[in-house]
Amino acid sequence: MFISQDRKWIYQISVIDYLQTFDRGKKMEVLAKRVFKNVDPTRLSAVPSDPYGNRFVEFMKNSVFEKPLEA
Amino acid sequence: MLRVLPSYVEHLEKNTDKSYLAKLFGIFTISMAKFTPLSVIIMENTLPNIDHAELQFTFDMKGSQINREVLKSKTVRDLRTDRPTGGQVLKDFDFLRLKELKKFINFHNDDWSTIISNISQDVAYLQSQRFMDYSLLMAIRKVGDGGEEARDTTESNGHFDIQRTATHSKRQLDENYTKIMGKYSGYKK
Repeated sequence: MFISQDRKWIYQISVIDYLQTFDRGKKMEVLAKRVFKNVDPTRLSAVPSDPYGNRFVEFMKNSVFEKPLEA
Repeated sequence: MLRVLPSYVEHLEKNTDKSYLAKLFGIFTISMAKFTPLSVIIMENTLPNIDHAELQFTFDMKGSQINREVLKSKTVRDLRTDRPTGGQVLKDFDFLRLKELKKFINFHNDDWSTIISNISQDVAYLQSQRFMDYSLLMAIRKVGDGGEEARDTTESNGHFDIQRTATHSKRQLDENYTKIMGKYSGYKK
């Protein structure tokens, strides 16, 4: 649990739903979405574990938890 | 599932109090006559133990860009004037839009470093086990809205909402720590 600098907000964070591996079902999901929905596979949530994790951390770092300005 | 347990325990032991992974409490298989066995995993409920109406926002974020918006139909004006969505789980794009409007992201420098380093640890572990598709669940509430921990911090600040005592319905207490994720394999004739 964290409290914001201005003491207005309380945050609670956790990682959930992490028991999914990039298995055959997920590969089919990517294939299906690429064929039928014509979406860019790199933007989907169904990507292999390594790129998924890297993107996850980057997103958290850059977009979610903005780095506070140095005091 | 059983394959990853040893490394899971090792990761948690190494990162006690640091990992944000929702804890696994148990795995059961329930077998009954006439049903195919049902596998159930019990995991920690990571949302605060208060009425969900007292939460301002709850976000489930993955970093992917497809289908990550719940409040798509809302205009900026709606977002500004609407009541907080509380327990309704919002996604990445909603977060990015609301963040600009409400300015609710305001972490201490130290907290920021801690969070990023802990998340990186967790993700490195999840990568080593080939996991993917996980989300970061973030619950945001206002100081003074329910929960004992909030009380201390309101002492020194006069301008917060009138403190309310958190009321827990019995149902919530029952739900408190567990969320059951089941794989239901259907009824066998």
